[in-house]
Amino acid sequence: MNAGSVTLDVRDVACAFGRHQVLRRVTFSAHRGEMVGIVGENGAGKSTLLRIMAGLLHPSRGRVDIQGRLGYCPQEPQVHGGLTVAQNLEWFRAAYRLETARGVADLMDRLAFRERPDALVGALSGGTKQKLNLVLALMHDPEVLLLDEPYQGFDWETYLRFWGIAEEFRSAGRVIVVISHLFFDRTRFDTLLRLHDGVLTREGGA
Amino acid sequence: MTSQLATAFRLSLVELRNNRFAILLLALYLPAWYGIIYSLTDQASIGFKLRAFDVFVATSQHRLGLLTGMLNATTLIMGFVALSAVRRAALVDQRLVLCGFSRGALIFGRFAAFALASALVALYAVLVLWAFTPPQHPGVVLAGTFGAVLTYAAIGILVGVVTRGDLEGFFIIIMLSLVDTFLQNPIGNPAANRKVVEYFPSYLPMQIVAGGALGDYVAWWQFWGSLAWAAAVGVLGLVGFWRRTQIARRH
Repeated sequence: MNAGSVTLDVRDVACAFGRHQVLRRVTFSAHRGEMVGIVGENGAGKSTLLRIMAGLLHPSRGRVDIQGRLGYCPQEPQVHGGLTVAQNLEWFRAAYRLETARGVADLMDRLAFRERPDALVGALSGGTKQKLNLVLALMHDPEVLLLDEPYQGFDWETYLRFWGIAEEFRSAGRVIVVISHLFFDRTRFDTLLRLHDGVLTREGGA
Repeated sequence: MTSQLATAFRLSLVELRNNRFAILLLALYLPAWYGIIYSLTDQASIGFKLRAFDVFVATSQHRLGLLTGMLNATTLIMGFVALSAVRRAALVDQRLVLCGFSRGALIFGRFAAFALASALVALYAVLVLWAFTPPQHPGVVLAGTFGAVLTYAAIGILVGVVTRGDLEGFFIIIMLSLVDTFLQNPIGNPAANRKVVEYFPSYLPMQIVAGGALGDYVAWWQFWGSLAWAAAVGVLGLVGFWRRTQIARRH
């Protein structure tokens, strides 16, 4: 790998809420085609780190550089419950300025999303909302994917389907960062990092 | 930007339309509320002061009760609709901005949808009122009702962006609408003609509605004044909305 292939660079990032130091000088980078896992117990600062990487939060210090389009999948499904599946996709198609929805149907199919486009999202099950949450993060074919507990609520089959899609993104040279409090299969990652008390350490890769 | 604005406007309107509880309130509660007021009041005469003309208008308790009841119900419903819409969409709106949606298009699309919804609610409320008591100047009554509903849409937005929980927000809207419309009603409050009510959000709309429904007293400056009330609260709501959809970094 060379420096030119670095797509995600997190440098010296710290974050504090009042006197509570959530992140302490977090530094790591990821290259094209790299799958990074960040594990940590509840309250370790994982979601805060992801929100800073995504650009939702300002760090107290440090910086984040991302080359290319970003796909961000928040832990809780951030979808419009009062709209249908199709209308939710329409909001995000407009946000990403996508001319067509090509690829979206395929993505939904691969995640076994079987609800009708006119189904009201507020009435969907938690797992189905999470599928939509994920589709909204992937539908514009981003170069960098930041996924916060992306398979929360998935059944085993959908969990495996998710990894199939993630592997394809990796093969296409995308950077994928998955954050979770627990990984069933650590061999899926090229790099595994642990966040403990706001400090990021390397656990080694597969 | 233009196509994003059109999308934001259309989908925001659909979101408001999909608020089934609000639709139910409009369809059932509003006529039922008119009916209750009508059955609890009588033809006894009561005076209402129109300050713009410095006159007391004498009318029946039926009619005045229905007018204040209409403003009370519509302001409550629209305040609730706006608050609920703003709170439900809070996190998604920020995500949309992160994904590239123009903040200006998102906010103006949403605000335009609230304005159109306010006009439709006002129109519906005046049409149902007509079945109980035909207003003398329906257009004037519609304008006054629109001013009140729009003001409470703006209040709903503002409360939605500043309160932490849904319950606190709903409580504020209910109390505000109750105090605002109840204290102006001489049937329930003998001190309704005191000067202090002039500062209430629905004071000007109430004056327009009463003047247009009960007589030939029409002062259009009051309509513009009620829109100014709505705009002033709306600007505060807009600032809150702007801050809430802020992101640290765009990609």
